[in-house]
Amino acid sequence: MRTITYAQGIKEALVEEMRRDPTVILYGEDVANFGGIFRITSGLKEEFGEERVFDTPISENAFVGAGVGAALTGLRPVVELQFADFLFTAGDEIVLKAGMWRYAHGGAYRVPLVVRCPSGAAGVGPEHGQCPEAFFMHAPGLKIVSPSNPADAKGLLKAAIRDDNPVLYFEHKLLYAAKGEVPEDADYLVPLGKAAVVRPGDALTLVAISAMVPKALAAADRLAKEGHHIEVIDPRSLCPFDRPAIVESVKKTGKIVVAEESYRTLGVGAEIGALLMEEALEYLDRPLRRVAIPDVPVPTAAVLEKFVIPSEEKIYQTCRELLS
Amino acid sequence: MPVVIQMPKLGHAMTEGTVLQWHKGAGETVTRGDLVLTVETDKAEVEVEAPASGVLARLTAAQGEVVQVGGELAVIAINGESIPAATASTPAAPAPTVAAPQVTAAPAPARSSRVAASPRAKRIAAEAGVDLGRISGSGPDGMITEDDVRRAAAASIAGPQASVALMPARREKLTRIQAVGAKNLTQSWQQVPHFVQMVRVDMSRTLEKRRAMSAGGAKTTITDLILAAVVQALRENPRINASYRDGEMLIYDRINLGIAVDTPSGLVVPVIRDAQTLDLGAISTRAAELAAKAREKKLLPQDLEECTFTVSNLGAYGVENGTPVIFAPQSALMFVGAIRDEVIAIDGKPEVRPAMQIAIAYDHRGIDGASAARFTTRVKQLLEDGAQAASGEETTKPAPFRKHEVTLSARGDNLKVEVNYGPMRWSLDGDDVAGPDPVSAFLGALGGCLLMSLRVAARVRKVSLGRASVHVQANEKGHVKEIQVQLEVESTLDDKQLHHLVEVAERGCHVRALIKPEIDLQLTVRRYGAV
Repeated sequence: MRTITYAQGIKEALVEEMRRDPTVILYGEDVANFGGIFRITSGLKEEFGEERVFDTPISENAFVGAGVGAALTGLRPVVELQFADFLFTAGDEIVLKAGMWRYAHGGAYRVPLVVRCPSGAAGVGPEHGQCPEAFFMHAPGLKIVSPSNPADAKGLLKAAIRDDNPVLYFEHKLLYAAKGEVPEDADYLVPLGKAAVVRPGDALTLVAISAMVPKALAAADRLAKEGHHIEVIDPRSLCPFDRPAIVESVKKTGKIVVAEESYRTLGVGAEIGALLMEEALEYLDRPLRRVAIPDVPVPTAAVLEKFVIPSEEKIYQTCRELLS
Repeated sequence: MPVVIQMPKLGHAMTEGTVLQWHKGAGETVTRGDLVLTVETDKAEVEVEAPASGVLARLTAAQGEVVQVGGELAVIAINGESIPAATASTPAAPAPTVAAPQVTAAPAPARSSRVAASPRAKRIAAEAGVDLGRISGSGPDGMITEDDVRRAAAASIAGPQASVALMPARREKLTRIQAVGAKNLTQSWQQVPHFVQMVRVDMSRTLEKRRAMSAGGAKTTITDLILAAVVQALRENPRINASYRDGEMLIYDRINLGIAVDTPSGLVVPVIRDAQTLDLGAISTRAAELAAKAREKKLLPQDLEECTFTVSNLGAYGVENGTPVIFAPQSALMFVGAIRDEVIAIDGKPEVRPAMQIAIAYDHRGIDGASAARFTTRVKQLLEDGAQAASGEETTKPAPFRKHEVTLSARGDNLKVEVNYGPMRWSLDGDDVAGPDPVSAFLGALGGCLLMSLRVAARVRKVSLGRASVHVQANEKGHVKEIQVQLEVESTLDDKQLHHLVEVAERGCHVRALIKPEIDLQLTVRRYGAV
């Protein structure tokens, strides 16, 4: 299989779905003429024309709202935010409209909207460097995916575009250059709500999200050399969440560490902890451990950013502590 | 008056029993003789029936509860009386005054603080029966973890050096019978110095004997023949039928032979009592009865008591040899292996013979190797001689099995003649004691042949024939001059057809054809029921 980057995976998904389905449109700040702030969409305007690929004014609330409207009328808009942090700017349209309208109208309308959200700390400070998935996990009606590799990036985006519900698609900025094998099949889809066991093991369950996955795998490699076989699980979708995958793994291992780039309080790890209380209490042999950002804004200064963002070393140490 | 069902006393030594299972619930109507519950004693499971008809008004003892002999198990209301609910188990028999010596473990250090253990550790500790109060935790803040529990479980099984134990998939409590058996066997193994003697037995003769007996209609099994040989050998070697106790041998003249029987709920060893008084047929009958009772769980404790020697036959399972453990206080136990063809040197030449291993374990405290060897080899010899040597008789080699060929032999000064026909043997006897005389045997052959011939004729003509019998009679004294054959037939054929059929049958009868023409043979036919 050929090897491409995460960014190419996203672009392939967009191109393939736009070729397949004329109702798919793409817009956002600088996506058409500039090709997107991260150059994901370059050349798409040329192929699909200005009616399907166009730039918008700098108002997330307005153009995400337009996306909700377009979706209601039968199009399948893919809206690009330059940074995931701007979801808050578009919060009314995201939480109160996209997430709720299908429900609020008794199912009379569908909202097949995809919002692309480049996420993660990359030296860009508190307003451009967050992974805000957990905020929106709390909002009903939204689907949330966070691919960690090129194949999932492509497969999840294609599945998101074909889904009749609003999907927040979190693409981590530091993963754009990551390479991996990606199927060329035009119908290669990664189902929403299905976790992947990216490394099987029996000593401890390590749940890692998005850019934490490569760090978790590196930590697991180190631990394997010490004789501890860690099971690394990538949930891929945070909403819907593959609860059985986590529960089954913990039943086997009895120990769990969750690594995420969200804030610790009420983060994904907190939700997984609650899930295990509900469904696997008597299988837990150690306290849950979360590796997350302490509850401070993501700093701009590189040294501080490095300090708060979960590192491979931090994941490794946390696992070691539980395994002792 | 309500009737109380009490814990029955099912053996001399029984003081209490366990309620194994209730087959009827409180409030159910029962008829006298209905199975109400099963109780378990140290030796057997016994079914308790309703002693009267009525309503099972109260179940006093719970399943699993141990009740003294005579203690109340349930109450049957006969006339609809109301029976107050049980207040407590009320044993009628006084509790034993001497308490059994209690085995106490080393006192556990008291833990005042609560036990900090992971939920997983708690679950596994419960499954493994590990007391969390006695182990210290290695987890965060001293929390007891799964590994701590497994280590403790391993240590309790295999000593402190054991590493993390294999956890059982499930734990299965032994039944009371099995548990008592386990205890007794441990004692036997630890206290009785065993030695085992093994011999190979050529079973040709014994197998022949059994074939001959089954051809004669007897239901004798190989095991029965082995048991009979053991009884004979024990009679001749009384010190083997004994118990060692405190420097003396208690030698029994009663041979109570235990036979190990496999049942779905485990191995039991019912006892053939006073086997020294029983012949082979009686041993066979008794063994079959006990095996059936064992399989139907109908054994009573007295069926299992006072065994003096045990035979364990695992041949049916294909096991060839073993080193058995004695059931103390018995002094010996015989293991019987599978019979299989083996090459045995006979007069310097290899021959294939059905052979079997026996292994006899002895208590070395009271039995030395030489006296054991006398018993071991005697059992072997009896089986190799087909057990006939027991009565000092010479054995005859069986005649080859061929149709229309019999071998007869006579010995001694009586008129008894033994007829050998393949594997079958019977006697002809001038004194009419052991078997028919030769003429009566011939009349039997004639009648039998006529009846068969009649049926063959009917089959060839495709006519149906019901019952048929024949009475054959010759003059009682002197040379045979006349034979009367009275045939009685049940048939729908008319008289003409029937007589024709009989004529055909008579012509076709080979035995009839052997009779000299000058002998007057009268054949009469009548229908069943006709006068």
